[in-house]
Amino acid sequence: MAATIERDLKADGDAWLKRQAPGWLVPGMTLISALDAGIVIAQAWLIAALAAGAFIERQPLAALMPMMWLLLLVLVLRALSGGIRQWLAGRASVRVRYEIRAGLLRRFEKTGPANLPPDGESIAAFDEQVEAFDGFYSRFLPQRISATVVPLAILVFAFATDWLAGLLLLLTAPLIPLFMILIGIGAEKLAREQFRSLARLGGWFLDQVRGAATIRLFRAEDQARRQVERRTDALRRETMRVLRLAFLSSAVLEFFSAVAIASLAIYIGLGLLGYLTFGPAPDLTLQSGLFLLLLAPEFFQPLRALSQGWHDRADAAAAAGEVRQLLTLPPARPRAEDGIAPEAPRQCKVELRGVSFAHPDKAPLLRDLDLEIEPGLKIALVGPSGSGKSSLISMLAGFAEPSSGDILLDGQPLARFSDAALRDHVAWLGQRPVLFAGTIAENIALGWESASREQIARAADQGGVGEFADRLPEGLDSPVGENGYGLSGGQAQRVALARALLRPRPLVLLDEPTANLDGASEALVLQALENMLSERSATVICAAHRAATMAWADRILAIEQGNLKWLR
Amino acid sequence: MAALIRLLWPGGATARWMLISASMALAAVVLGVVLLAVSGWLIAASALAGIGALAVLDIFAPGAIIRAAAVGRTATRYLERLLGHEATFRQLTEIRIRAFSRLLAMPVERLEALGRGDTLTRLTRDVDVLDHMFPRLVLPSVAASGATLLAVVVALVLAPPAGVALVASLAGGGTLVLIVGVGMARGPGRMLAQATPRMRSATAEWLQGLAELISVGQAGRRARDVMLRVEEHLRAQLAQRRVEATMQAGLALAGYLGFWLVLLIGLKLHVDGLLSAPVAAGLALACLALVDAWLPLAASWSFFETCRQAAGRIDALGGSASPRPGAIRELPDFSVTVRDLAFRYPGAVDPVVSSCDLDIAQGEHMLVQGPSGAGKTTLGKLLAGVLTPDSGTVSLGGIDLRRLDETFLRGQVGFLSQSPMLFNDTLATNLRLGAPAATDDQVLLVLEAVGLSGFVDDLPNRLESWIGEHGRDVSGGEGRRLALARLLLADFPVLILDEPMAGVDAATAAAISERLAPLLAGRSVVVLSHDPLVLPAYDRRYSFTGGRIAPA
Repeated sequence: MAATIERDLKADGDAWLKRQAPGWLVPGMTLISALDAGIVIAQAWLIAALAAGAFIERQPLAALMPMMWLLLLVLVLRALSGGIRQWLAGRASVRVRYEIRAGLLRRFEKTGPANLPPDGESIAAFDEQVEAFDGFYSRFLPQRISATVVPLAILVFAFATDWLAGLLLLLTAPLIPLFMILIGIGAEKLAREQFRSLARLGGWFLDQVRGAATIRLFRAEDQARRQVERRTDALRRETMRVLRLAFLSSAVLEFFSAVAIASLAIYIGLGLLGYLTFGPAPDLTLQSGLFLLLLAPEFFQPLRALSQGWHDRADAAAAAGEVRQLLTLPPARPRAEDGIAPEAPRQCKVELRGVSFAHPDKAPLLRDLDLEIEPGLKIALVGPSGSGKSSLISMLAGFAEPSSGDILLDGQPLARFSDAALRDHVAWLGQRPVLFAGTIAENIALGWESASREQIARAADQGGVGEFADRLPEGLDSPVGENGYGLSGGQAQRVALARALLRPRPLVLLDEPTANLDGASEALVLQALENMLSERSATVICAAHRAATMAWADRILAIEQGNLKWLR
Repeated sequence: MAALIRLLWPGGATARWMLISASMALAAVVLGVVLLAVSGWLIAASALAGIGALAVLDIFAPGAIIRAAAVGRTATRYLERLLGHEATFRQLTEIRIRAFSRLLAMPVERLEALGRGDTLTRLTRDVDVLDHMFPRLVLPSVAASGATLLAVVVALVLAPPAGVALVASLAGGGTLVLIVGVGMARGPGRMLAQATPRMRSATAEWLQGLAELISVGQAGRRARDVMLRVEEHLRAQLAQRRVEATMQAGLALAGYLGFWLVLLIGLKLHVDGLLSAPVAAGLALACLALVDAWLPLAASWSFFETCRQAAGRIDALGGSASPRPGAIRELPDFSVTVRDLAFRYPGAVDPVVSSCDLDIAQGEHMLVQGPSGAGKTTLGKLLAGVLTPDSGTVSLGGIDLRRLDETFLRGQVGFLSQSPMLFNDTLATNLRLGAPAATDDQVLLVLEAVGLSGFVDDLPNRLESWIGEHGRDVSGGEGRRLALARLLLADFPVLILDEPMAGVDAATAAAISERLAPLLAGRSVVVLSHDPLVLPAYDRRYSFTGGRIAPA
């Protein structure tokens, strides 16, 4: 597993994207492209044969009809294969994006809340950046395969028919791969330039749009409108200067294909007239000549399509970089895979042995901590913000691992607990409660569906949820979250508190549960906390900015410059 | 559709560029058709001349046409792309101005509400979508249909039945496929427009609640719910792809059928002695080249629904400026009166403000003090007319704010919010927002008042330096002081200042407060703060708790 990730990181975005494609995509697309090549060649041959039959051999129409019907069949096949190709590519793209999103969620869960980038970044990766993969699978990859297979097949037939004509095609497209690199460089630069300038303008415009309220507040509407006009105009002038050059590279491809067709037509014409006496020219007939002429545009068509699809690749590769970074985040608990599952006691003993903690590339936050907390003890953990209170709680909750040392719960190493066992041992409550769409009761019972109505109602009462739920028309069954009643921060926190403490667990961790509340709400939450904790036998560790508010605490523990100190 | 036209209808200069680039696109397609048709003509004619079936053949004229068409196609294609971009860029400016003007005609209250969701982000994305409509959809469609029209005319002259066949198959059939396809794309397009934000909000909810979900062992199960949303979103896309692929196949069928019919008719007319072989060959090949111009239209027109929806969303913002009838635009004085004011956020259990009364005489400075989270910000917004009360009134000079013209009101009341918006732009542009005519000296004076003289001196281009994303980062405290400077420069007779000194250390705050006094003199000022220690001098002090206000 680790080895493949390692290899993945080294491979370039292109190869990585290609590896994510379903197994059938590349062989399937190659097959369809080969079929396409066959169709294109058959079509050209049939048209040439029909012309020769009618114009040179002067056959009656009836004699030509079988070939006409065959041509119709080939044309229908061609139309269908185009549709099928597009449909299959679309399916593959959807499949890949589904799998990558599922992988991202699995990785987010494994990495845990403590080590994830800010939500906005993760959501952008999950939504927009994965979406940017679409063009790679639904356009670029099929185009690239077709741009390899079809021109090659045509070249073979062209050479077999008239080696001079074949050579002409080969020379105007100086070795397809070389040509493609040429296209790639030009198109990529163009795509980048265009993309960058548009993105810059987009960002600037978004800024203005976001500030519309401010602009209104200052009555600066006309000024702002003029500025949008001025900025976009300036950017237009600047970008057009770049594009004038950048578009030349795609014109080169255009020029080669047009000149190749023209030279081929003139060569065949002169050959047929008998003006050319060298090489295979004297052997040209209307059939072989028309056949070659019809193949020429088909030879360049896939290459032109590819040059237009190049920015799809560039966008996808850029997005792939970001997404892969998230997919390779280290898990919060790497050793939990075949973990132990000790029975959960009513209260548990917590031990730290030489525990240190540091954020990646930062100086250690906690240094070599040793600590023993007797079962059932209720502890307030204090210290200035940034001192490591949250990190310590995160480690105990299994959201982060110590950089060195061991945490033991009842003598068993926490790092080896299975995820399920950890959930049975530890209850956790953070600073920002999240209510999910559903009723208050459902939110309290989250994760413990077998809780009885009495248990829920009791937890709600103790947690001070009843106080406001009673004022709602449906009581505990009132909907909250999206499309539901809007609860204040303090109310939501009391629901979250009832949720965390509904199910008895031997270790309760609270990470500054009132940090984001105003005075009045804080008092209510603290009251609820005291109610709930005084009834429970669990071991409790509660991070707090002021110890004074934790009247229920048996002892107070302080973090000072990376070390622990008992205050009481 | 009407929305699309309203937003995209080009202005004079843009229309000219569009016309030129469209004619280049048309020329490129026509020259491509000519290249292949004349080549076919030449080869057939040469073959006949080669076997003596054709007496004299002038090879030089067709040879010259072929060469000219080859070079001409390259040149016109290049010009099409270049001029097309010029037109696109010009239209992009127009679309932005139109969308922006709609926003700027909205009441501040509505804008603030929009700003909380992702409506504004989506607006800019929708504008980006519309930018692409001309080059992706209009340009290739004009070129393909124009070239087809020309081909039909030529065919009607040379071989009338072939012209009729072309109209019936490629032109008629192709257009029908596009129309039906656009209709079919509506359902999936609507589905996608609903499914995408649902997927996003489900993901956001899951991520925000991840710690709690993990701690109750529900992260995996809830992730499956998120994946259901992902599936819904991708299913809608898949339906869209199915329509696109069907359109693609249908268009190709119509086109190839047209080619086949023209070939058949050409052969029949030739066998009957009504059409020469070279012309029959040229016509057939012209048709084949035309099909190539039509095929990309499937992708172009499946993009139409996306554009239509984007335009619809921008249009749905409304915001056409309709001043309130009979709105008042003059005031006897600048006193502020609050009577029986009450406000509750929609869906909230408790009101934030209930039965508040307050009188502020013109020129009076008032402090409203209360703990953080008590609702001071809401009260401030109500006073500034940025929120509309549920009941009760806020009046300025004895006139209810709701009876005042919104734009007029904005010129009277200045509001410093807790998280003021600074633009990613130059410092001077930011500060002159409300006072475009302010001199550099005036700007520097207010900067000195808020204690930011040093800040300016450190900037590379002083007032012309960029701040924000493309320039110097601004800390929260600096940002708020810059916003205060911007407000002071704008000369509002009434000021509502929400926590003006937050994030500023006590010594600096005291110094600023002292320097502010002359700048605030004569204005009616309400300062909302939880910490009364280092604020500008005030005449009276009120406390605000539990949604009620009382003299302190």
